[in-house]
Amino acid sequence: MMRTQRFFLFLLLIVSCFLFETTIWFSWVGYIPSPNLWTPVLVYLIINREHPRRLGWLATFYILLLTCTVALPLQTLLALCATLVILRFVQTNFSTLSIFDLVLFSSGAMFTFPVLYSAMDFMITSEFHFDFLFHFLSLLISFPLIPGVLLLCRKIDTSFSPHSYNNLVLEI
Amino acid sequence: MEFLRLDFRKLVSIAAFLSVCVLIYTLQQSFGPADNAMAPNFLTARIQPYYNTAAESIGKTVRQYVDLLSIKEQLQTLKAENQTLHAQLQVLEEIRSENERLKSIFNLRDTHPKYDFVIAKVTAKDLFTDHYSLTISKGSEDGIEKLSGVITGDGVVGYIVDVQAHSSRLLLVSDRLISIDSTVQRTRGRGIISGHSRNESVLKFIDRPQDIAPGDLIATSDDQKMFPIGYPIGNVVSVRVSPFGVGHTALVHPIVDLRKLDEVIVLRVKK
Repeated sequence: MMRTQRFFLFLLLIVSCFLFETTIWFSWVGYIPSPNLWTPVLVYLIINREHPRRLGWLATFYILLLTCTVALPLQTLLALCATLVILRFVQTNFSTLSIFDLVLFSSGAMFTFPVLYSAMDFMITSEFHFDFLFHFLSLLISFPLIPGVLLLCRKIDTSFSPHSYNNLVLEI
Repeated sequence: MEFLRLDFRKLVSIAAFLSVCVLIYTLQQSFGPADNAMAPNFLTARIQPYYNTAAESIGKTVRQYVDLLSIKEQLQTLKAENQTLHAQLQVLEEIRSENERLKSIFNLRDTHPKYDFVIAKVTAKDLFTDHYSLTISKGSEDGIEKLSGVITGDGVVGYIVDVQAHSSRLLLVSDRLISIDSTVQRTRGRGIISGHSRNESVLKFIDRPQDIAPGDLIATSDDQKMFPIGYPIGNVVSVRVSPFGVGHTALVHPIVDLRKLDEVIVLRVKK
């Protein structure tokens, strides 16, 4: 039950992040780069979920992403998978993960994912469209908001944890 | 009644007072008023200006303060009035720009009778920073179909790539996935318009480099039905000649400012 609640809460958080970027920020601020809030959630879920669930979240992200963009599906999937592999590789170097580590990972993923996506464009059409300034501005705006998003993720995890104290005692 | 009892001291005092008065009067009669009053006048004349200045400055300050109080009240009233007028001006400005937009649409209706025009509001942007697409407020319920052309009164904006019941996604001319058959208006040279960056497009596959030069107007070609023929897309900024002699490209600056789109016109081909 707790697991289902947690799943739907995360789903709600992801959709809220998408809609904040595409509609709320757009109608308030306009065409200025928006803060990227979905990447920290993706990073959090990839790092904090076990193997089969991680792939499930990746698939959920992929499906939801494609509803809000005209990006090419195969390219998006490959870029997401590559980001996941890189994140998992980097994660092995850290024994314990603090919010600061997660902020660093999220900031890295904000650049890694679009660079990988654009790099595939380069392989197909020999054109590289990565707009560094635009992405940098987006990162700058989103930087103060990343810890908040990550703390919210952690709060959902701790408040709706499927492992109760009794279960833990039994497991020990 | 005590005062009326005259003793010697009182009588002397009264007599002295009267004699002084008589003396002064006599002196005035004999020498004139100016000379005998010279000594006290001299003193008062020296002191009076200072008193006068002090009194004037105090009066002035008080008057200024009273004036300031009334000015403050007037300022508040004027500020409120100014804000009301400013708000009214904003509304009028909005109405004026809307009026201009509608006028241009009516003009378009007259010049392009082959198309129906659906006006839609821009509601959302693309989630990916590297893709340039917008969501508009009209969908299949309003008769919009996939690959319908989207324009403004100034030029081409893009075309529809995804249609929902009450919304559609429009691909801008600056997106890398777009392809529009176009011509150079001056030489009738042909090419394909594709996206390049946030507010730039490229004209690809130009056969001959002499067909195009910076400043040329790029318009929609005759061989497509998505847009009216010869509708402006953008101006050539620079030309890149291929070293192998084929497939030259030109950087094009769209005529429509894609970063300031609020409303767009979706074209429906009349059947």
